[in-house]
Amino acid sequence: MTAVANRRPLTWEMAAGGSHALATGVGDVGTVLLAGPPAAAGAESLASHLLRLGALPAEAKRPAFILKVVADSGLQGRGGAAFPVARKMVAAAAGTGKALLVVNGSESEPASRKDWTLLCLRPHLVLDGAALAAAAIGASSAVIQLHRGAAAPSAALLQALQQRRAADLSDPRFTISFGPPRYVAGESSAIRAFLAGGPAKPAPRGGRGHGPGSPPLVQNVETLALLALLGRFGADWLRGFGTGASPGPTLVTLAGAVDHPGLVAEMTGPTALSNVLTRWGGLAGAPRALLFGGYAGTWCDGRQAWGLDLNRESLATAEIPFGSGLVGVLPWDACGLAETARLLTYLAQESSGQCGPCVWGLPRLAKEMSDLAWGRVASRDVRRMARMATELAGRGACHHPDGAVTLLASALTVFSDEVVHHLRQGPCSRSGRGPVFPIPERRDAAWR
Amino acid sequence: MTHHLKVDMDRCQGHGICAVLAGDLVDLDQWGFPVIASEPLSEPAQLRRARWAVAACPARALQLESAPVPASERKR
Ligand SMILES: Cc1cc2nc3c(=O)[nH]c(=O)nc-3n(C[C@H](O)[C@H](O)[C@H](O)COP(=O)(O)O)c2cc1C
Ligand code: SF4
Ligand code: SF4
Repeated sequence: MTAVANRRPLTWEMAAGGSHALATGVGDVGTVLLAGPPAAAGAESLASHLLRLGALPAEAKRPAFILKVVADSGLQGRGGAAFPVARKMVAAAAGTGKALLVVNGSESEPASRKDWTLLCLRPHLVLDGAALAAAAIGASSAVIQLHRGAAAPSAALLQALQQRRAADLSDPRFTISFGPPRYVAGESSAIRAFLAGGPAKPAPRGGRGHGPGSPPLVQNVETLALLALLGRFGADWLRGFGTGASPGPTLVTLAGAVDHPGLVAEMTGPTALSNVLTRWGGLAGAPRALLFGGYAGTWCDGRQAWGLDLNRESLATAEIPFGSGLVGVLPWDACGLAETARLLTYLAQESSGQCGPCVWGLPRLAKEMSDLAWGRVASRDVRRMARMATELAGRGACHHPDGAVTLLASALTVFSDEVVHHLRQGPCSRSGRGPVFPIPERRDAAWR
Repeated sequence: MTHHLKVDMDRCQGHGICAVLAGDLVDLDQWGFPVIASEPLSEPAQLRRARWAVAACPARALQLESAPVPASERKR
């Protein structure tokens, strides 16, 4: 299929907002999601988008067609959980009452830029995909959910929506909704609760504020962008990228000690992690450790990870969930325990304050990890911390605490040498340096 | 049917009544929030205690989830 015109590897610099985010094609196959004009050109116009990819074929809006290509393709969600899209769509299509599609553009992961990049550079890809998903479930309207303060994506979307209205595309009624910029506010039940008029806190059993009928279908921005291509080129085409269990191209964001934190790279086929990090991260060799998935992610020893392929499937074989595609680099001169303590402190602050184990447990884990990183502790303290962590797993209403537990458990494994060192001699010189992974300042404590 | 006692942690207020009424099914963690065994409830007496706990929870945070036993796991 040659319709995806630009197969050249692209390197481009984002123009928007003075940010140093970059988007780049990696490997020999080039780019798919990010194909098209360079990033410096900003958001691709509808005219360019249609010239490059053609209009959505009319049949692509038939629910039966979409549900079939999605099922045949094996597409998985890109918001973190890698849930099969077909299953959610079929359930939503069979639902009763007024259907609603939610485009999840929250991108709560502080270091992740992939959804931001898609919205800013390829808004029409996302909107095409949203139009298809809405058609599949019989929704006449779709809400694009952003965090407050996401100025560049919202500007790109407003312009794109204007172009689409002028071209009289048969779109659902799109609205942009701004939620509180809190980590768990991007979780799907939190968005549903917010759209129902409540606080943007996870409410997995629905409950408060929910009207009758089936809950809105929530899909991630990258998932929908892939759907736009799937609707045009079909399931076999999509399966030509990615891996068997995780089909389609994948966006990843590089973070931490790399040349350009926030660089978004597209994996179209099997690509060695070492290749990505030397070519696009500026690394000369394996770092001390890698943080995969997000701030509530999983640590992996740098030298062990160096030989891995960077895709969800091979990471899963190494028992590493790839979450929302973050690849964080911890350099040799940083302390993994100190970094984990800062991340846990952040995650504890971002609890929605509803569930006892999360409200009480996460701050305790953060405190104990901080004591290990910067104070003097004994091995029984570390044992107690590890036991407490395992007792918290699975006990929140959402998966927020589970991420914190995985982060801590993987830290104790990967940084076992550092633990021994800290137990014997207290904090090391490396724990004194500043954060490798920036912790966002909380500008806004509201839940509405 | 298999039966599981489940807690909606976002509703639970940590009153701990469940642990009193169904002590064999519910432990409390160090902050007083329930830790519920993941095994299905087998004996009728367990099921009865679980029902008491569900009915008594002031936060209406507990429920009994019942599902038919999947054919693959059914004893012949
Ligand atoms: C704490 C938490 C935060 C989340 N934040 C986001 C987010 O910012 N953006 C997102 O797309 N998904 C986020 N998710 C995942 C969503 O709940 C949901 O699974 C996803 O949006 C569904 O879309 P997908 O199936 O296309 O991936 C989060 C999940 C959790 C548990
Ligand atoms: S587990 Fe934590 S973040 Fe999730 S709903 Fe409960 S309190 Fe909120
Ligand atoms: S009785 Fe209800 S509110 Fe109290 S601890 Fe048990 S589940 Fe929580």
